Amino acid sequence: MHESSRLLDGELTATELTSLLERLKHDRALRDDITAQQLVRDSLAGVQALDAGYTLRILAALERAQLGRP
Amino acid sequence: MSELLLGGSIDAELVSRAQQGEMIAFEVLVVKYQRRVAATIQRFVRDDAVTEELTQEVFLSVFTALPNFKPDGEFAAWLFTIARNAAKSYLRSAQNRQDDRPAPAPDDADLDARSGSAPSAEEQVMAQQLFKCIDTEVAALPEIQRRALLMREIDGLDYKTIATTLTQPVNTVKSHIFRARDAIANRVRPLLTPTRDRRW
Repeated sequence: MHESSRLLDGELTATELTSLLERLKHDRALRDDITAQQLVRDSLAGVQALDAGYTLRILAALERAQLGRP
Repeated sequence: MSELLLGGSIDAELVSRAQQGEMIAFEVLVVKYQRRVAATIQRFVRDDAVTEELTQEVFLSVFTALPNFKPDGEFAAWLFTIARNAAKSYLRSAQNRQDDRPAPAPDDADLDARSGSAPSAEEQVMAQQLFKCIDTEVAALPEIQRRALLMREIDGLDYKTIATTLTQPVNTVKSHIFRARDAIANRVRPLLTPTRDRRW
């Protein structure tokens, strides 16, 4: 319960983190929840910007770099 | 004996797992920090396309440098130092380019490059709706939840300090904050842009 919030706040044990990371690999709803929770946190902290695919593009760039593609 | 919460060492733990090849751990760090890294860079360069390009470069640099990162250091401080340095370096090289040759008038290619990531009018309207929704939801929270949430997110107070201020047990305060965040996130989630075949 409240696991996205707990993840972003560090309110998990190492064992819980292992389990959560494993689920994150294939649980889109959980990823959406973490994205929404982080957006709320950033917004309240005064950083009001939409993601607009930013995360996806960063991760795509990382993947290309790992595969040695330009 | 029960296992300890990771607390302030959550980032170090995520870094440590990323260092061991667990990519999903690094993805969490990207989701957690990308907006604030972009905001840091934007303050220097004031250009959406350059901000996105540099933000990508920063996370690539960090990922490449992960093997050298010592878990006892603070990840966020390291990350934002790299972001500031990338922005300053960009400004220096932009200045050097200006010194070397006359500044060209913006051409089509330049405009095209910028249009790739600059928010469209539709995205700007969506953003306004979304942040208005967050404000509305915060205002609609029960007072104790709202006070606890704002102390945590705006004032940056730890749970113990909030608990003392609100004269509530720490676990009750945590519960208020988690419920408040969940309530807002539940309203925000449908407004996020769905992207086909995404990982996040």
